[in-house]
Amino acid sequence: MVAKSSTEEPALTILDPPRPVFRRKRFVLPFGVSAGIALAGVVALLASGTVALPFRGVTIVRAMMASKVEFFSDVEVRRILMANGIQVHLTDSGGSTEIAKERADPTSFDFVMPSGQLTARQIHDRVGGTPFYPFTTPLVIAAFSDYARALAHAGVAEPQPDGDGLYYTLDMTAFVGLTLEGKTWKGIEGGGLTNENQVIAQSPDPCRAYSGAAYLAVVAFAANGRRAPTEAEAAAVATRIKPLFEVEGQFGAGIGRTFFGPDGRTFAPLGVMYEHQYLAYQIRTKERTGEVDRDRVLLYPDAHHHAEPWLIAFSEAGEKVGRLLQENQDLQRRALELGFRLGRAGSASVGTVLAERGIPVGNPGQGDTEAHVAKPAALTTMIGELGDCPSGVPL
Amino acid sequence: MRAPAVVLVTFAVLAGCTTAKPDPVTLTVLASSELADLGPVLADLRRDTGVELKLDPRGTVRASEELAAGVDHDLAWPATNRYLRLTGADVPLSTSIMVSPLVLGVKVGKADALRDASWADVASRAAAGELRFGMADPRVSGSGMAALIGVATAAAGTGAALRAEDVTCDKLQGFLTGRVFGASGAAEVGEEYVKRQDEVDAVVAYESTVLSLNASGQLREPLRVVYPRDGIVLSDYPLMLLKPDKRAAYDRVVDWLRTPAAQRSIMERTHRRPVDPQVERGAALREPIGTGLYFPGTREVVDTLLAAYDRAGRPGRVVFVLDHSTSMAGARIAGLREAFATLSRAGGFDRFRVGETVVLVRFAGTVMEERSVVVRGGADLEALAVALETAELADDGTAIWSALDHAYRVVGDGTVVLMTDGENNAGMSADEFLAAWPRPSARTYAIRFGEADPVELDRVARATGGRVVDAGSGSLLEAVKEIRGCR
Repeated sequence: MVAKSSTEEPALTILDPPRPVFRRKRFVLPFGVSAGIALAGVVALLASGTVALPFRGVTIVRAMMASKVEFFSDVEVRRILMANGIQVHLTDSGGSTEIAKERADPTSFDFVMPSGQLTARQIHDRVGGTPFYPFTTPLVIAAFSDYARALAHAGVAEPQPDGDGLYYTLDMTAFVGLTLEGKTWKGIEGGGLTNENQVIAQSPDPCRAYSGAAYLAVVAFAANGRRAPTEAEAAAVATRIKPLFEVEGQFGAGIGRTFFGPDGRTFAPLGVMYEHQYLAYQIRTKERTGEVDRDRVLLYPDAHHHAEPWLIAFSEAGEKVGRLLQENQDLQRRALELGFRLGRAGSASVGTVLAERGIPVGNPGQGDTEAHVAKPAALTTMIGELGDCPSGVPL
Repeated sequence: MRAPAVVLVTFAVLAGCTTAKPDPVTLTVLASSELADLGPVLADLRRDTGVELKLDPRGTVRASEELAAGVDHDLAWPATNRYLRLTGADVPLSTSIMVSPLVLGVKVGKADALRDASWADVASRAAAGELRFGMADPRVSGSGMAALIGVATAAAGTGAALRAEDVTCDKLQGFLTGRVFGASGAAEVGEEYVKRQDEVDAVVAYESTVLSLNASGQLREPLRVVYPRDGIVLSDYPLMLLKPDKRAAYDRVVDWLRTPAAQRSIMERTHRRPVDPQVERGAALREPIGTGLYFPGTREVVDTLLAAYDRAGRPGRVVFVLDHSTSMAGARIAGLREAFATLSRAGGFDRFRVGETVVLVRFAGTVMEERSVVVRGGADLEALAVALETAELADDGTAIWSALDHAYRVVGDGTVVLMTDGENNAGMSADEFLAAWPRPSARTYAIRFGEADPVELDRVARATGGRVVDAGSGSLLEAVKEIRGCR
């Protein structure tokens, strides 16, 4: 048994020491790219203030409101608030008067934001809190353009001189007159409409929504010889305008969102909303498409009401949000871009924001807007007559 | 190099991290029965938010009654909160999640005739036996009730929300003639349609039900969606918070359901329209859906409609007592013939309908002819359309009371409609008639032309709950339409 012996010496090749992992080309390139991206991201986050959050702590602020959720759910508003250490957790009340109800328990929130001063005052009188007045917005009627043109044809609406077809002034007395005589859209001679429904502006329930209550007040003003009904007159005026509210039967929900959707005409060809909802939509549309939507126009009632949503704070965190809304430049700028007018808080105007974007500016009308709205006691009487208030008349 | 990388990663992770996932919660939901189709969407909801929704299915009308009486669920999710509001209950916190209009799904082969149809066109075809459909029971289901409201509002033709006084006469029977089967809810009517698709032409349901049927692969002939152009009823599926202490979880659910991703998922899986206008819609959901309907404001209206619904399918009988004396010559007899042609061939809500028995009693100085037509289909309607075309007039007087006496003998539990232009000058006197029929039971309407003296007619008509309608000012057809369906 012979073993094969080997005489060869093992040959050991000396290799260069391996390059450290992180210097290898296969590594450096992808790592460099991802690190670059991460760095850019961090820089962006630092700039926005977001990166500091995990270290600073975010205050969750709980809030209840109706149509003003549109402001607080805006991505840019959320970002600015987040940069200030605040995240707002929203409960949509569906209507401002809901906030005033006991069951809504407003003081359990850090703040509430009813859509207008009448409800706000009522809440404040009942449960207190610290009010802030960041912006205002006129009550308006939004319409599809063919309906507005039909009204103009009937001499009830008039295109505003520099409105480029987007804005009209609505003669409320004549408009209320059309409904009281039972006119249908199709019945407007030369109006070219086929809709056989009677002429009304669809309004949310005055028992539930601030805009509904405010619109009722504006109608009552128009139907009472352009004078806000007194408490003594309220019941009689309510009876006179009752047919106007019976046409719609059961009140619909607010059309602030649905009007702008593809099925907007079916929800309401003409309906009550706030100016900010319309302007925000047009600003957004212009940004996205380069054009405004000429099919949706705005009617400013000649009896006007400027709604002032109050932010009523019930905690320190709530007050911080209130102060930010009134003082923070970025938030004010964003409020303008969302179509609000800065009430007592600032001097910049929504007109500037529109003009910058090449969007025509409408004229909501001048004058003492409070004078157009009946005093709470009279308004309460009228809402009780015309609304559908299972849990009592608000205000 | 390594240290900065670690720092970067740490920063990036921290910046991206959100608050910790909330605890899992289960909420009970009294939900419209068709929402069973949301299963996969709700599974995603649970995965993303930790909230499980346990649906307890119920027709929306039924659910609204239960809600008004009080239930133990955490949330409610009906097709609409309008029925709940009609009960007078205070509607809790509500957020609309998605939308679907009430439509007709009509077999493609039958749909051309209903292109751009109004509710009147639908009712007319149904009455003639040319449109047979299934619809959900309006006592239980929101879709069934929405159909009744659509038809009745269009039939009232006021351009306003239906009021109780607008539905004193029943204009629903023509439409309801077409109803072949019912079902307990919007989803069930779809299932029933699959089983009975060879018997019927259409289904009255939500757009989402019709599109889902088309996508199911279970139909031998696809359905085309017909949007009644004069009165769309939209369901907007509000999610409602019943237990205020569940508000945090409710808000989480609503936030999630209204994200573009969830809205898209709902649209793709269930064919409901997203409420978020930014979500791009599939081709089938881009159809403009026409004029919306003003929704009735009182409970009373709904009760009246349900009573009319319960009468559906009873074999109606109407006796027309028609003056053929020579004074009717010319425009009057022409108007009468035209009215019968219209009611037989196209009369919208007032058309003669399948199942109805129409008795024609022609008279002058005596009863000249009695002819009875049981409407079973197109041939009978055509016979009625021409029944008066060659009928001759006679100059032997006007025996109104004798003719009415004859009608009462054949009317059974039906209605009598008398048309005359003269005063009684032959046959029975008014006194003799009233002696013979001291308490006439058949509801009686009289349509008067020209000089006919209505005092005694009016007395008789009112005694039966009917009345005299004057055709002097308007067309005879309008006068007939005014009392069609009144009983």
